[in-house]
Amino acid sequence: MPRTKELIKGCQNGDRKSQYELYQQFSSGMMAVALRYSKSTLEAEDILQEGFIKIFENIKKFRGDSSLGYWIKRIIINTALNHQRSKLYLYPMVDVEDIKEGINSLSVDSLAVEDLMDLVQNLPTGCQVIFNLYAVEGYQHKEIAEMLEISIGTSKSQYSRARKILIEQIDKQNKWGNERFQ
Amino acid sequence: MKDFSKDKFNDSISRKFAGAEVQPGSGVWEGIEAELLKQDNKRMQRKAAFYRNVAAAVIFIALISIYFNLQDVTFIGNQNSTFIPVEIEKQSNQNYVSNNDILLKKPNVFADSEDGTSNSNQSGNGNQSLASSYSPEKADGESPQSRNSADIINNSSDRAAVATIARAESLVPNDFELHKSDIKVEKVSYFAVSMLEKPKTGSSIAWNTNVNIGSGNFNPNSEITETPFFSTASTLNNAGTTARTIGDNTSFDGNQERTAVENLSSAPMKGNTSFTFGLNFGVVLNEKWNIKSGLQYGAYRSSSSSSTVLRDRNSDELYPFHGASSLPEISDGRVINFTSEYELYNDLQILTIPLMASYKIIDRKFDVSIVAGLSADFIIRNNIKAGSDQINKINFDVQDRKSYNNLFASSLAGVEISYPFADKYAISLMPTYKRALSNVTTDEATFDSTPAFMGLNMSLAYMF
Repeated sequence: MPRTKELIKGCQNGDRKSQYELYQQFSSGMMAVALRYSKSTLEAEDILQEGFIKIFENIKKFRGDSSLGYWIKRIIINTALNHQRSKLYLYPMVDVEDIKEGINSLSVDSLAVEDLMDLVQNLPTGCQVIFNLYAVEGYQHKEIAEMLEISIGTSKSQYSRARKILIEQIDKQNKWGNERFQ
Repeated sequence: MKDFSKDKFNDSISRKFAGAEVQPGSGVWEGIEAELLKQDNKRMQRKAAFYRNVAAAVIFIALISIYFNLQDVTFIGNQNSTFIPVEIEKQSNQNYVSNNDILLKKPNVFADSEDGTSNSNQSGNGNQSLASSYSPEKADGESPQSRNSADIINNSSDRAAVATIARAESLVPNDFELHKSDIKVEKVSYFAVSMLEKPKTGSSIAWNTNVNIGSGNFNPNSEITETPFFSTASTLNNAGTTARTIGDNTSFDGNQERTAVENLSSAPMKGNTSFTFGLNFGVVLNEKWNIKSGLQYGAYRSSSSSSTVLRDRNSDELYPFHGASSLPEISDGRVINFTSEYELYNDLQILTIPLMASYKIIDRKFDVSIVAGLSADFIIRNNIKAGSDQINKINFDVQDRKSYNNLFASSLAGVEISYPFADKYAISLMPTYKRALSNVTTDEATFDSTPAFMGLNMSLAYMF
């Protein structure tokens, strides 16, 4: 913890070594976050780069109310949302019926994280963002609606749509895996 | 927040991604660093602009002060001060009266007055005597003195003088006797008083201590030589771990190297805040001329952008490619690599022995002098560093003779505006331009360099 404080202080003073150390410490985790909100590695790297520049610009404002990791993650997610915001408008989101299909959590657990990442990346942009915010980050639909300036209904329906697509894809992968195994 | 425990699907997805890590490409940090460098540079430019503005404001205020100083150098009661000589018959002395009615010299015109007593023996001053003597309005015989005066005044110029004196008479009551000790100056220019109070040092020895601040602009890449590289000295290599390389090591292309050097040479230099301080001893030859010398320490800083590094082939370490990169430095197992743009900082520490002559052109409340001189400059240290942790710093100390000469000569010129106070002290402000006369770099360096420095010096002087 004292090391983290030193690191933050160094970054606040614009020390390049501290900045690099902070980047090294958090870049891998944040790259995974950026990938979940993007369609390609290149796009994720753009988000990561832009996000870390914002982090270094604003680290003077960090007062330690939350953990540094959480604060950094919030900035990366916000950067990703800004990146995707224009695309959200390009693909108008239509309400879809709530889908109630269930899936065994073991089916998800059996998937490699890379495969799951691919599936999430292949979701339509609107669905992808809302699914990430709701299912992974744990935001409520009301919060998502405010963040993305959409209706709560749209948020719910898009999440349901994403969930349906994912379940179908995971099922497919599991079946394909089982067939291959047999 | 949502209750994850109720949704196993979301829970498992969330768990899956919780510890996920993916290593980003090395280009991401380079991009971040480049952006941070740009921001640092902008911040530095803002700082430099601030100091420049402060310097400009100080100079502006000084110039305004000088302007008003020069506007108000005369006695208020003595405006239009042309003096009319009054020649009076049988008079050996010439009497001067200013055209605004102030008598400046006591006349000796009463040697032939009726009572035969000389005016000089009368009590009171000549002003009263003259005023009572020269009165053309009364030259109709009312007064013997007037008649006498009328006899004396026999030409038109004299009459004009008399008319002037008569006006002086009207200003002085007849019954008011002015003694020398009673003369009061009605209103005197502030600056004129300061001139009276100012200590005249004459020919004496003076010394002063200088504390100088300034915004400097040092350009180590000022002149590119005709052939910056020998073909044997360097060839471009394969891509390094960090650097991008243009070309390959099998085909030597001098043009690429030349382009690299030219790019560095033409990169815009940014002056950073430099500072100097020191102690000067001066000899005041006369009221106009002053010679001084002393010892000055200066830290001169500049920065520029570069996209070229020197890479050590054995250790893979990177070093900044700078203006004075010498041939031994390049050929010593190091090759040139092109990189993404980085900031190059040059910190020179120089010990200077100046010899300056100043000539005072304005001697008022604020003195203004033109200063010119020469100096011997000793480079005691030069640190060259890049704004990237991946590139090593280069330190040149006084022993280093590969890239920099230990000694070079400079010329300097400036304008010194000083304000004397408390008899013995003076504070001064001196905008200075200094330029190297000889090359700062050695023959083995890739550039000739005659750096220039623009500064604003403030000094406090004590006069013996």
